Amino acid sequence: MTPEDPVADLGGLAEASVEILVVLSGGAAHGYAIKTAVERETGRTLGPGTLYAALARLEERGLIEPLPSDDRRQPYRLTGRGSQVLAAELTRLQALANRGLERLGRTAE
Amino acid sequence: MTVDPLLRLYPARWQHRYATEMDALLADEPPGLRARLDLAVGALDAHLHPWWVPAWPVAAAAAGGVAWTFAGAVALGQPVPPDWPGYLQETLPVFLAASPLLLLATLGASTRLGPWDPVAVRAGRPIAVVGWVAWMLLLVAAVANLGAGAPLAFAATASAAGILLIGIALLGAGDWGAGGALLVAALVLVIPAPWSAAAFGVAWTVAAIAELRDPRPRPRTTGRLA
Repeated sequence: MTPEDPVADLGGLAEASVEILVVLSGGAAHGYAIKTAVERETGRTLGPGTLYAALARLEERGLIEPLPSDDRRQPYRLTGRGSQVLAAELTRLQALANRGLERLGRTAE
Repeated sequence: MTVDPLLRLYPARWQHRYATEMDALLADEPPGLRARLDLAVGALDAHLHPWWVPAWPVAAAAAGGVAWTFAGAVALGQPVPPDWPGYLQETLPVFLAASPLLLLATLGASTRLGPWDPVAVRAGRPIAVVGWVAWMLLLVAAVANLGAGAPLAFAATASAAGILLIGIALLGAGDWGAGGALLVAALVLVIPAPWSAAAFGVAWTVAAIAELRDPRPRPRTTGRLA
């Protein structure tokens, strides 16, 4: 069974997954680097269990992939499909944000 | 290699794939109470959403199904009529022993679609767990002669509802063998007939065979672990 929407189908992990994909869109990173980047960029704590639950699902869906490493730290990078899915998801979120701000009488910065 | 004890809560396959890097993460940032709780929830999630085929659902369904079939067959042949005191007293301990196995089998069946949980599985799993746990507690009361007839039927109905939802989800994903067996198990569980207990056990045994013949969660195609 292949999910129709690889991000929406992540359920409670969708938000963390998008944040992880955004971090990886800037280049390959390992778990600790992803965690600290997400926390720095969103101000939200990302627990190690949540991080790896999301990483496992993203890897399962082929949106990220591990890179060879001699270290105990395993770097991941965005795949081509991950890049496409992230772009589509961010476009959807942008449209949602624009629509909401417009209805509130405000404009996006 | 020594890893954080909390990582031991994860399934063996998960540990093989992720424990080293997760341990490196925990070395970089030693976990506090909140992070430890998050790891425990993550371990539960990993058990419920495998990408591999775990062996325990098949084992639990087979052992529970055979035990339930045996107890049901014995109950069918016992001379005490259903409306007499003492009916099923000899077989209640066997049903009680088989119940946690079938609770595990129910949870196992709910993992057959891998990391993707349809709504029916998300709804059916907690309903089935509540039903099974209530059923077991009430069965203990029945074994102790405390009487639990009507609540026991209610608990069985809740279990059946949960199993039915999971069965429907499996059928929806084209998992005909296990899904069909669960559907039958759910239906016979709520039928108040002398043969229904044995039929429930047979349905779970069939489910175990179907799960063995058609493993669902697929191994990942990327990553270090095939």
